[in-house]
Parts: sequence; structure tokens; C-alpha cells
Amino acid sequence: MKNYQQIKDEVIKIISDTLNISHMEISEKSSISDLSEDSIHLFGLLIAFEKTYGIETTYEDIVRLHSVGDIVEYVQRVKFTA
Amino acid sequence: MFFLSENRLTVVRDTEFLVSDMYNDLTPYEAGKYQMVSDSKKNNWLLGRFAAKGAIIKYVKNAGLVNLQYSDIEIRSGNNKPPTFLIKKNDIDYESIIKNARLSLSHSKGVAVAQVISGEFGVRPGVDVEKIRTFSDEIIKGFCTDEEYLKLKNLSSVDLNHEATLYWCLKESYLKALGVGLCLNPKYIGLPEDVSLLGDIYFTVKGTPVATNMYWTVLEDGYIIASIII
Repeated sequence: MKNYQQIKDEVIKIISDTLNISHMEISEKSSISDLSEDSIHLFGLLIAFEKTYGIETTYEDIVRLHSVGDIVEYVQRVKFTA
Repeated sequence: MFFLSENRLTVVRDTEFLVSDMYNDLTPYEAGKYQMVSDSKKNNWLLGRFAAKGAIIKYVKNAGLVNLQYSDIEIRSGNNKPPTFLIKKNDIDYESIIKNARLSLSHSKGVAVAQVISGEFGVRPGVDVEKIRTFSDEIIKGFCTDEEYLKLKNLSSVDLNHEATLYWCLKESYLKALGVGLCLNPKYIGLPEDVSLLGDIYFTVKGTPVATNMYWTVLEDGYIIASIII
């Protein structure tokens, strides 16, 4: 099972690779909708999360989760907590 | 059906207006919202409000009223819900003119588009603007139906960028008209087999045919704008 820090590093790498942003610009507090330039980028992020974690995330989830830290907690809860 | 022309849309570009002028036309509520928008998105956000107000002024003008200013209009938008608006002027009864009006707006990289139509009989608009771009195969597979994906796979890269951007624009417009945004995966929206046919046409939602009115165009500098009325 992955710990919080490991998931956080993974999530930041996914966001960095998908949105083409330096990982230095992404923190736990960063807003996902602020990081993504538009709806197509946001959709790309959904696809990347789905591919990595096998979780079908909706745009609504992402907006509701709001920050990178929220996503890390969500992945930890849904994927790594039985 | 109706509105089958570019006149149905109000399109504005960041080269046409000064940011300071657009900011000065915001209501206090909008100015508060503006402060909460991230710096990199502020200009597009303003442009979207400006296009929306232009579309509302056009709509009200069609009802014979010409004295409305940008600063008289307040755009309200919620997360993933269609935007609404208020007219902050009470010299005449605007309420009766706009009570059925439905607004949709979109902005992308310095271009904004908006549309206002009468929502009588439950009619709803959805618009989208996107700069033509390259898509990864995974994203195309993610938002297209199997048939659409196969069709795109056979195109050259230039045609693929155009068609994939168009498919996205049409689907996002449709989802906006439905009032659900991307809460419904765009792959559940099936486009007509021939997307070059404008006007009354059938889309499918999860396989069920739905009557739709479709319009799209390509701007000179590589933007596609689409408008759906359902």
C-alpha cells in the first residue's frame, strides 16, 4: 500500500506531465481548475487518473475535490483503503 | 429551424478591447468574482463576461430596447451550471423581456463567444470555442464513441487536429445545452455521421437519438466555434 507522500508525488507527476507544468509549480494547495488551462486539459487529467489508478473520475469530482491535496486524499481513500 | 447563421453568436477577441475598459464595466459582484479568478485566467474571464453582455444587449435590442449598457448587466455563473444574468437597471421592465432568456458562453486563449436565445418551450443553447490543437490518442479515445474514433484514426494529422477539435467543440456545446457540462462524459454524446451538415440534425445521448440544431464555423486564425440548440 502506498503512503500519502508516495501518492502525492505520483499525482503531482501526473498533473505535471499531463498539463505540461513544472512540478515545482504544483503544491498540495494548488487548485486543479487553476492549473488546467481549459476543459480539454482538465479532461486529459481525468483520462490520466483513470489510466494510472483505474478510477473513473468525473469532471464534477475534480471540481469538487478542488485542490491537489484533495485528489491525493481521494486516491488514497478510494484506491488504497480497503 | 432557426438561428442558422453567425448572427446567432457574439464573438469577441482580446485584441478588440482594453482590459481596463472591460474591468470598468463589471458590477461590484462581478468585480468580487474577478478577484478570485487566477491571474492567468483573468483576461479570458473578462472577455467571456464581455461577450455575454454583448449577446444580452443584442437580444434586448431585438426586443426594441437600445439603451442598455455593459455595466447595467450582471453575469452570474455557478460551478458546472449554465450562467444566468440580471439587468441592474429599472427604468423599464426588463424582467419581462429577459425572463425566458437563456445564456451560454465560452472562452479560449483570447477569444470568447456567447449566445442568448429565448428559452420558451424549454429551448436551451450551448456554445464552445477552442483553438485547433493536437490531441493525444488517449484523449480522442476518451471523448469519442468507437465509430467516431475509427473515423478520426483514418485522417491525416492536419485533418485530425481540425476534426478532433470540432468533435470536442460540438460535444462540449451539447453538454452545456443539456446543462450538465463535463459531468457527463462526452463519449456518451454521439455526433451526426456528417458533421458538415448544419441546421436541424440528430445527435445521440447514450445511443438515443435527440433532435438538435447545430452550427459551427472556423475563424481565420484557427479557432472553431460551435453552437448547439436543443
